[in-house]
Amino acid sequence: MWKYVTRRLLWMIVTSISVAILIFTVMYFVPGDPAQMALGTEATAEELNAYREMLGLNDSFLVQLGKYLYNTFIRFDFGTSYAYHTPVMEEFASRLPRTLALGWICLIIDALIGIPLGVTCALHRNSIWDQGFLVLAMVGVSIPNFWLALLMVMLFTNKLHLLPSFGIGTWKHWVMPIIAGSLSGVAMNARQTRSAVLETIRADFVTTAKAKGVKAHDVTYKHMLPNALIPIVGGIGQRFGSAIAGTVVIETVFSFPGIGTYMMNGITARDYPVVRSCVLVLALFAAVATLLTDLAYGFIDPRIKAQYVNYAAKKRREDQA
Amino acid sequence: MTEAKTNMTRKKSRKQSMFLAVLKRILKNPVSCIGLIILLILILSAVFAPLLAPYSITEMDYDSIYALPSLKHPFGCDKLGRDLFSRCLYGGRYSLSLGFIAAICGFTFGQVFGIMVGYAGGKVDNIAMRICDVLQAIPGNLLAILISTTLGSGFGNTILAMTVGGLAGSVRSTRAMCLKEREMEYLQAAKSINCSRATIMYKHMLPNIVAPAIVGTTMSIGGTIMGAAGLAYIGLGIQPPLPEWGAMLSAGREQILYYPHLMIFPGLCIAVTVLAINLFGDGLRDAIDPKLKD
Repeated sequence: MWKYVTRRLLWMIVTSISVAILIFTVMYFVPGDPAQMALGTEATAEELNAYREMLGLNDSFLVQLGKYLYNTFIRFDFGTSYAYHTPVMEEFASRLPRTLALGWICLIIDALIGIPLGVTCALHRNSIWDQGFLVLAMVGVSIPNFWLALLMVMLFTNKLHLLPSFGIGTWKHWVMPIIAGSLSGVAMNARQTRSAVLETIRADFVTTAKAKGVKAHDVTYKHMLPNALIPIVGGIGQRFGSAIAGTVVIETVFSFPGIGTYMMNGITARDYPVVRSCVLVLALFAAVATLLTDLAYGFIDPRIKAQYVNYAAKKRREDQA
Repeated sequence: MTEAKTNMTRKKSRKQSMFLAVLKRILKNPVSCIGLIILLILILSAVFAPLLAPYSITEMDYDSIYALPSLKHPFGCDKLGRDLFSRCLYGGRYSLSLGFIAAICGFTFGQVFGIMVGYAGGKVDNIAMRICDVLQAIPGNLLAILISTTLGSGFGNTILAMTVGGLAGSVRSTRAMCLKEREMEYLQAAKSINCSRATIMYKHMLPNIVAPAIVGTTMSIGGTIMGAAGLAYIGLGIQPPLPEWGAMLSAGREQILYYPHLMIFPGLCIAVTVLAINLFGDGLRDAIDPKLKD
């Protein structure tokens, strides 16, 4: 087991460095000149050149890449924003918690509403409620979140004057971004939970439990649900990455001062350090979330734990051979 | 000669009957039927947009700037007095073709490489999976944003951005199917009669693992269309003056207080299209693989 964990951790470090190299390379080829962006169109050629020299943009690709990797992974310094002249780390300190909070709240709401809905649908299979919720869930998955956000702005801000449409401060600012961010997740969770529960209805252990004379209520809540929900809960952790990446568009709609808006501003201003760090940090958090879910899986589900053990045993046999 | 011919017709009829059986099962399901009909209507109206559109998409009518929906302009007009209904009709061309092309590219790439990697196994498999790990470490839509920043906006670049975002996932799932199939006896039989690797992979293995991929690809089209519209919305995908739905929505956002129809209709187009594809995909999944049905 511990061998597996260390292996995964080591591999995560390798992955993050590869991701950093990938992002750097992609950003290196972005058209547009950061110096021109920062100094405006009236700057002379010497000024532009001096600025580029200062940022180290005149170095060769490999030198720049090496400096970037050294600064990021050894000194934990994400560089200084070209546009704002502030360290990226400083900006992250205030913005990252907001984006993570938004992502987590959306995920939790997805689970809290989606899973019970899916279970109810599965237990009352083919009833009117089930069919109705299925269609509703389909509609929920199909509505673009930025459109839903704008519709809500129209209703709650322009018509009812209940909620502010941009910025941050009170809890009211969080309501619309959270709803826009979690609708499709709720629908998706409900659908997946429904089919997962329906799958366990036919499982052998359910038949066994029934044959033993376990009460119908206990069969459902003690035998079926715990088994059906393991993959669902695992899936939620794995979706963390796409959930926080999905907040990029929502943050843009609501001018929510998180990582997403920071990144979009960075893209417009050709602010390479900002964009690179945003993508890297989001990818890192996604990787950590996946790792934690995988490990949690092992502890919750004895079947998967057995796989780790088998894997280790198999490795040992192979090594000996 | 005649034997070969009858063989071929038999093969053909078997394939046709499979297709017909799937189609029959889809038509039996009212929900997926509705999805299919809406999708067909959307595709036809996009294809015949020049015949159906009441106005040209660039024609500016200065008398009807910001016109509200009326009989003359069913969806109203935008800030330049261009008819929104015509623009939405044309917009379907971009969104639909983008979604389908990206899906087909992703499907082809995923199948070809997924089978290769899964069948080869060993070192090749290991290296390919590690590359997938790195690609998948960056969430798909984030990768799409990065790529379209690098390549710039435009139709082709958006397709590329949307395709690359989903590549690693499709290679991985095809490979997983392939690993299950590898130990099957018919493959050993094929090997024993000296079939080449390519024949084994693409003639014998592919038909057996292609069904789930077709379903997955169909289901992904809706997400791709939505993702591409999202890219256009944040100013990275297909950009104005082209009548792409996401871009139109983004332009309508400025006037949301007084002229909400500018963002309602393009958004509705996206939602209906994605819904139709999802409904159809759901029915297709049940029809192709009845085992998966609830």
